[in-house]
Amino acid sequence: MLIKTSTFGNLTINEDKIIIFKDGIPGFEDLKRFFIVILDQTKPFHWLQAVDEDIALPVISPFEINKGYSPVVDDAIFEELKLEREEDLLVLAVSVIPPDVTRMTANLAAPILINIAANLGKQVLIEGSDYQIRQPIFETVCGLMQGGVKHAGSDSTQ
Amino acid sequence: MLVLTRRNKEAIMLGDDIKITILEIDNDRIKIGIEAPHATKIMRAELLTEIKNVNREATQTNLGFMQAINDTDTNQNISNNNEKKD
Repeated sequence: MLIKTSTFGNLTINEDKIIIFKDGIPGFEDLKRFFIVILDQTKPFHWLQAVDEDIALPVISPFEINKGYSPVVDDAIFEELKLEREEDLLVLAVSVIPPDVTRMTANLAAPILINIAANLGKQVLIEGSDYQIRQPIFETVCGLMQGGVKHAGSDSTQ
Repeated sequence: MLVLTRRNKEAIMLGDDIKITILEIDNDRIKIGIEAPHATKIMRAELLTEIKNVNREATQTNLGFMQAINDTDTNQNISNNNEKKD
């Protein structure tokens, strides 16, 4: 299937990579089909690209931000996602990356849950947790990227 | 919008399964108890609005951000190194 995107150009994807969000996601309730784009150049961020509209959201693993991340999710959600095995569950946090990148944040209070075996997804809003909708992540992301960051005075060339 | 007036301790039913009870009234704050099936999504309204805003802002990302991170981190390291020398 050919998907035209302004962010990544034209993408050819296998239809079995399309994830169904039966309720869409908050703010985009009409968009029910998404897929994940992995770009080496933007690691640790990946992308959730919509099939039916040209939008993409940067996403990051919440466990890279917070190793002990453990939101409490109702069993009804796992049933809705038809989740049979823990290893089929992919958890992603939507990130806001403004022009001032030092103010980038990740939404740990409403993670996106994806059953990669059944290709079903849902953004789950968790009330009453200490996790923030706008968790600052710049320092952590810099730490994760340290291998690729050029420091002043280094000998590395482009 | 249906508007009802309730006193302290009075309740409202939504459908057959959801009960909303006023538990406490205190100046400009009221404590509300909600009994509903486990799977019912219940949240403060401003939470949902904020999540929608975050999703919409996320779609505005400029791909130049990776270079911006590198540049910013480099600058911070320069100023950190200068501080150490002082």
